Amino acid sequence: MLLWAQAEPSSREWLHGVYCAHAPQVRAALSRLVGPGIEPDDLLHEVFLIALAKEALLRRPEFAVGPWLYGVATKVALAARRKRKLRSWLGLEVAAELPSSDESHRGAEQKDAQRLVYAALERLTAKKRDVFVLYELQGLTGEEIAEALQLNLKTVWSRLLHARHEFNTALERLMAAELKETQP
Amino acid sequence: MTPEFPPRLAEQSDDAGALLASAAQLPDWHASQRARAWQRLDRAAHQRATFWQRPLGLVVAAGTAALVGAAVVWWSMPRFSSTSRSPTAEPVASAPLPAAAPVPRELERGRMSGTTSSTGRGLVVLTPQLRIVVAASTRYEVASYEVSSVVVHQGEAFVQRRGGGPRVALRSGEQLLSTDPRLGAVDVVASPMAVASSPPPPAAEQRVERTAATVSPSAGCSEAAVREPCLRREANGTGLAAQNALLALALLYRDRHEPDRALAVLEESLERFPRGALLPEVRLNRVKLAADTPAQVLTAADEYLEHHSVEPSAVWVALLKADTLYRLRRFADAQLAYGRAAVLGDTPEFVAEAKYFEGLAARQVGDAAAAKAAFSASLAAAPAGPRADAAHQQLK
Repeated sequence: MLLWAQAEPSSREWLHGVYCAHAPQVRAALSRLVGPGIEPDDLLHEVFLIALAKEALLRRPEFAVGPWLYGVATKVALAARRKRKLRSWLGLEVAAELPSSDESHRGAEQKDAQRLVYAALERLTAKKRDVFVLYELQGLTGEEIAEALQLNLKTVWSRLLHARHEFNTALERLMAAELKETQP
Repeated sequence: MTPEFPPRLAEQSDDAGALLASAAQLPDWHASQRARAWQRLDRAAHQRATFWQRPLGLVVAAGTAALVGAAVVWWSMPRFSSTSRSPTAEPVASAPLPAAAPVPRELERGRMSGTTSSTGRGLVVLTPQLRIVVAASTRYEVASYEVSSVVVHQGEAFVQRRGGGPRVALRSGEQLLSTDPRLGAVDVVASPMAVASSPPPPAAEQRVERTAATVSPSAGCSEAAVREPCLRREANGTGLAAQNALLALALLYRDRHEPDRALAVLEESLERFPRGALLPEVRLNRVKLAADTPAQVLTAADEYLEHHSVEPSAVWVALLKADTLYRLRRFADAQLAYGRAAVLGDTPEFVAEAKYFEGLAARQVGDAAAAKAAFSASLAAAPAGPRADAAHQQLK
């Protein structure tokens, strides 16, 4: 028993292992889920503190940590988006306009693309948006999304198809509106 | 039956596909950023683990969280509101810009922030170093300690040294320090290369850093005996004032020849204010302090160039990096670094200098064609410059 206890990594070692293995992917997912204006490092910090609180569960050998972290990331990102919306509604949106550390590196064209894409994503419901972003931007498979969001595979498929249709419609409208504005 | 998922939109060649492919791209998460994020998490996890072991931890935590939450809400509301309560300095009704300037507000020491009225004519703030004209409808922040700093969150401001010199316009999201070379040179500081112990490349000793500036005497915390605790106390605060105090503290340690302590303070500043207004200055000082340690200077210079390649000091940092590589006899890397420094160069003499050393590095690598091209480029950049004769010799 004593030997086993010594072999078991400490909480810190365990967290470091999980962090090294998953942090880059989870951070990328958070960046894509929240869009511009929110610092992904803060959200990543939150995700891993939640993971630490659930250490006993996550340490089980059969437990898939990666999908679970993606699931937590979608919830944390949703909360951050809601907070931003609330701030905007209260007229406190100025701070959100300051660029996050990621944005300063982007080119103008990429910023434009990002602005259009996230404006179109704003028209989607949170459930459809999460599936759409994880599939189209983050590149997860349907099965991975189903596991992360605790959904049936068919539900993921159905949400994705509806989300794509709504996204395309919203994007076309936004592009048409921009074209109209630029024409004399 | 398992549903079949469609191919991803980003793989298609229509507008939506192109936009999604572009929006999906993220900048790299660099090792230094990752390490800082881990340190922050590690510290938070450690604090959490030890705190809950204490009796009454829950009660104390709840009480503290409520107090801190209330304070943060109270403090943050007016700062971010477009119709905030009156700023520390009242907007002055006058002409939009300097022509009919309003009565200036003196800020000898401390911090001033607010939003100027959209119907007024702006505000003039005088710090010991700067004259700042804030236009109407501008959300600004000015701090005056060891150095003066101006941040424009939204709107426009114009900054000039008190003694005259060029006027610099700041727009939304921009910031400026009183040590910024765009305001005109204050002083010239010898390049760290000149004091390095290993044998330098031929001209490194001669170089001077044109962009760095010395810090003006402190307006507060000026008594030597209490200076350090005074700055440390201010550094424990928040916002621009704390950032300023940390920078001043680092410079104090540097002047006392305690580079390790100075570096530790700069690291603390980077960790506590990863998006702070003084970030370029903090990173630049880290490069300077690390100049005696090649491995550290390369890391610090890379980080600086990665984040602040448009800053005026980037030219000097790029050259320092190239010099360091040359000293380490990593000639292939040095050749590349001198080439990049030449691209950033803002004067023909600088370009000629960088190209000349690019040629020397290329010769060491054994790339005669690249060396010839670099020496020719050096001559073309400054045909009568200080490197012209040497470049001629090398070409012969």
